[in-house]
Parts: sequence; structure tokens; C-alpha cells
Amino acid sequence: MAQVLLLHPKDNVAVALDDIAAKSVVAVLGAEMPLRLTAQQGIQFAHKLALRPIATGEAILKYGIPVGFATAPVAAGEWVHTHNVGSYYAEKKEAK
Amino acid sequence: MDHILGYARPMGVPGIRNYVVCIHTVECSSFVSQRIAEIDPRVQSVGFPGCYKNEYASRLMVALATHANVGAALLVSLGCEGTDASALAEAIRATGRPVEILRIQEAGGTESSIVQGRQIVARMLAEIETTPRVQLRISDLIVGTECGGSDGTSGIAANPAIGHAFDLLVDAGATAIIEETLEMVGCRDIIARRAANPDVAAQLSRTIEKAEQFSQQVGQFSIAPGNESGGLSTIEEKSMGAFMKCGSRNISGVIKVTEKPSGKGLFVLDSVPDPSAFLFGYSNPNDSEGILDLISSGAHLVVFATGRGSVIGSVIAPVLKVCGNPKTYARMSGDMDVNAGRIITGEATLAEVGREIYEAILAVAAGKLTAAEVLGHQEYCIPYKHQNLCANL
Repeated sequence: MAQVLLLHPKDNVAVALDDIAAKSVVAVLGAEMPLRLTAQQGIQFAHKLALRPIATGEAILKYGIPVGFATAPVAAGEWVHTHNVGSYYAEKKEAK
Repeated sequence: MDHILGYARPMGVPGIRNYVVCIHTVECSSFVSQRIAEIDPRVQSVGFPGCYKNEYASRLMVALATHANVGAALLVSLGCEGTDASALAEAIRATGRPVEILRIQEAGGTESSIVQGRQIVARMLAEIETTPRVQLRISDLIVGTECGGSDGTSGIAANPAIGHAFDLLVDAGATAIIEETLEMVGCRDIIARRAANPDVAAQLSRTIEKAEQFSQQVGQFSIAPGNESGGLSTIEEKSMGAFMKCGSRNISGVIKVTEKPSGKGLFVLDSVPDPSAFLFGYSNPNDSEGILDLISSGAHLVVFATGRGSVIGSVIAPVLKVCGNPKTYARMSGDMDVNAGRIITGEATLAEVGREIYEAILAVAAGKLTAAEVLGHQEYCIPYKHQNLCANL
């Protein structure tokens, strides 16, 4: 079974440890309780998968820290990348 | 490991290695210096190629010659370069170390300089052989970290595992140093919040802001096109991946290159040039430069994270390589010390590999050779640079 790695207990995304095929079931390594979910799309190695639904504007938490925010609603198991993530840093830069 | 024997030094913490260094004070004397150093594996060669005097480089050479891992130094000068070998020797002598200057023009050229230099170095080797061995406590230990040849695994395997080891080091009372402020631009506020007090927070913010301004000025950016295809969505995410190397403890202070941490705990090393009349170009031209910066600030050893694979070591201090990509590890295991790729394959947890790195650090401090040391790697890079010391600000 394909695996994703949870880096911090607070995180709402996990990192693919191999290329993951669409609609395949993945196991979450590093979770306190055994956790499995279905990948909504194909997800490449080292890319991120949502562990739970994330609302527009909500922080993307990796390493237990916001590394960006959702620019669209994200469903559990969905691929999380530049198409649905914005940068707080880039926003601040543009606002300057 | 409860008992590590170090080498007693007249000043400062004990060393974990006992070297004689041959330092060329200009490129013109580098060949002779290297030939002198060939006499014995305990003699290492390092130096600055520039002829025009550079305060930063001079400070760096003194810091290396007086490093805890160094017992004695021979300065190999051509005789007419801008760098003042006598001033360097005086600064080195002030730390109680044997130091001599060999001027090639006075010594009579290549052959006689090599003969005379080897005689001096042989005397120094005999002298440092009697260096008393003393107990090195974990609280004496200064450990640096750097990464290079990063890939998609760096931020999830090698870097967080090193961060875990850094937490163990800091909790045990050691001093830990992270470099690479250029990589931290995306998480300035998060890093500032890790500061031990408001002064350090302000200093961290200024340091990272300076890094950002410098990178814009010279067109050097820490974001490469491969980052996005590698799964990194934002600069914050990339910055956090690099920053993971230093773990989760409070940051005690910011230091400049050659400055020693003022206490125990976690420090950020600012190696980015300060504004000056001269702009010498890229801040950290390669990984070896960053490693040497950490060593010049007293790091006994440097833990180096890689994913795509790197083979480098360093002069003066051991480089312990942690590889986060299991495929790279399988291909280049002879160059690696710790296989953090086991986190990716599910064979080990972050905490387990972190503990293994911590144990490996202590073993190297106790004398175990790293892969790069066994292979004989002794890379270094000392570029022209301008930096004001924090102490002078």
C-alpha cells in the first residue's frame, strides 16, 4: 500500500513517500492512530495530500506550522499544491 | 557514550581532533603549503587565494588556526602579499599555540621551502603529540548543520531527523549552530518567534531581512525551478524544510562568521555579507563555504544533510553526512554516515533516526572517523567577503 508521512501531529497535510495512483488507498505513517484514506488524484513523490477537509483561507499546516493557505476548498485525500495553495509571504510582498 | 576524551587547549573548549594546519596566505604559496602538508595525514592545508588584504579572510584564517581541533599552525607566505602573515601569527600565538611563518622568498624558493616547512611541521607534530587528553563534556560540544544537494526528501527525512538530534544536543547542554539565512526568507516571522528574548527576535528579523535584500541585489535566490515540481508549493514550505535542521528549541542568539556562540543552546550563523563599498558577489558560493563558516565559529563537527547526494568533507572538522533519499543512499552509501532514507521506506521513525544521528555525533566526537574523513576529503572555500562583527555593532 502507498504511504504518506505525517510530519507533525497538528498537520492537515501529509507527504507522499512514493508516486501514488488516483483512487488508491494510502496509509498515513506517523499518525497516532492507524489512519487510511483514498487519494483523490494521482500524487507524485514528495507532494502533499490533505488529511482532512480544508476550507478556503484556512492554513496549510506542515511541520506543525502554516506554510501557506488554501485558495479553494480542499477535500480529504486531495492533492495540495500551487493550484489550491497561496503563500502568505508572497501576499505580503505584493502588498508592500 | 558517557566518556569522551578530547584534546586540551590552552584556551577554550577541548578539541575532538588534533591537527597541524599549513595556511597559505596567498594563492602563490598554496602549492608549497600543500606539499608541506603531504608529510603526514595529521597535517592539513587551508588558505586564502587573494593577494589584496581582506579583513574577513584574515579573521577566518586566525579562527581556523585557533580552532579547538588544531594544535599548531604554520603560515606559508610568499613574502609580498597584502595579507599580513605576522599579524596572523601574533593573533594565533595569543591563544598559546605554537605558530611559525615560512616566507618562500626568504627561504630560497620551492624546494628549500618544502624542506624547511616539513622540518617545522615535524617539530610541531612531535609537540602536539603530547597534548593532554581531557574529558570532553557534551556541554563543551559545538555542532553545526548545513545542507546541500537537496531534493524532495530533504525537508521530510534528513532535515527533520537532524532537527531531532539538535533538540537532543541542546537539551544535553551542547551548543548548536544553523547557517543558511538566505534559505530562511520565507519564514522570518516564524523564526523570530523562536527567539529566546525580544532582542534576539529583532536581531533575527534584521538578519533575515538583510539576507533577502542581499539576494535581490546580486540576483541569488534560494528558490530553484525544481522545487515546485519537487512538491514544494510556497517559499514558506521550502524555508521550513531547511529550517527543520535546527529542531524546535529556542534560538539563543545570532552570530557572524568567526564569532563564537556566547553561551549554550541554539544559534543562527549569519554568513551573508554586510553592505560595503565592495560587493563581492554571491553570499555562499558553495556548500564548502558554508561548512567552513560554521567551523570558523567553533563547530567541532558539521552535520550535513543531502538527498541527491554529496561527497564533500572539510578541513579542520569532521563532516557527518545524513542522506534522506533511500535510492541515493543505496548508490552512494560509501560516502554517507547515516541513512535517513529509512524514514521514507518506513523502516524507521524520525525520532529513531534523530537518536541515531545524535549517537553518531557523540561517536565522531569520541574519535570515530566519518565517511568523508576515511576517504580523505578536505574541501574548503574562503572567498572575499565583507562582514562587520555583531560585537562591533
